[in-house]
Amino acid sequence: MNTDVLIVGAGAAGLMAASKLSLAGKKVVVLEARSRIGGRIYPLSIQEFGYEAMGGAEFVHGDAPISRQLLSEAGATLDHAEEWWDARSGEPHLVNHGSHLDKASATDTLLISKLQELRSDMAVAAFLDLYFADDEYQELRAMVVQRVEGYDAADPKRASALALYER
Amino acid sequence: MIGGGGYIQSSIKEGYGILLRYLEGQCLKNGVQILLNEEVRSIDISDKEAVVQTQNGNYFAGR
Repeated sequence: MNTDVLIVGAGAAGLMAASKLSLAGKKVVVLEARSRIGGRIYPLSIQEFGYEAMGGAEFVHGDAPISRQLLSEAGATLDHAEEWWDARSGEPHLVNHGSHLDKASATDTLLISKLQELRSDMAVAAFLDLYFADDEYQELRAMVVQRVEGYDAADPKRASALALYER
Repeated sequence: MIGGGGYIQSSIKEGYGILLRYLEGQCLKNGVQILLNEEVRSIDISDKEAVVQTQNGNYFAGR
């Protein structure tokens, strides 16, 4: 089969690329290995799981303007988290909303400022070694690694540092 | 992913499935072919085209 564009993977990125390219008049074929579209977006139905749930992506983090615009076009309703809980000590407890947000926001601001200094991409692990090697950044490093491994299911030694930040 | 501009965390009331259905709808409306169960085994890229072979033995060429 011949086409203008072949896209491997029918996850959100593949479908978004296919949508934009087809809108621009290109003939597009998307190849998906699984028997379903969605990639790491995996809605679970009542029949499948007992109640409706998300088996993959669930939240929208940060301003994420492209994601939020797309969700708006799709007619989605967004609920903002009003409470923050921490269970790292083993006992779940409500954390101070303002201080948590201030801390998370300050961390992100610092990360973004360093990401904006990058002239070319590098692995997340190398990025952390370069800018956040000091002991004072231990918590920040752990948070970034947790995000990359947890949310992106990626290896920090191979994952893109620039991809951490949605511009 | 760092969204920037402050730390907001939101959940999607309808779930991320609504985004999938929207994107799939946009694709199908514009004539995109989405082929499932086509696991890519090899990609050969030349100056003229990219040829992809899947485990089903199918070949796809993109210009």
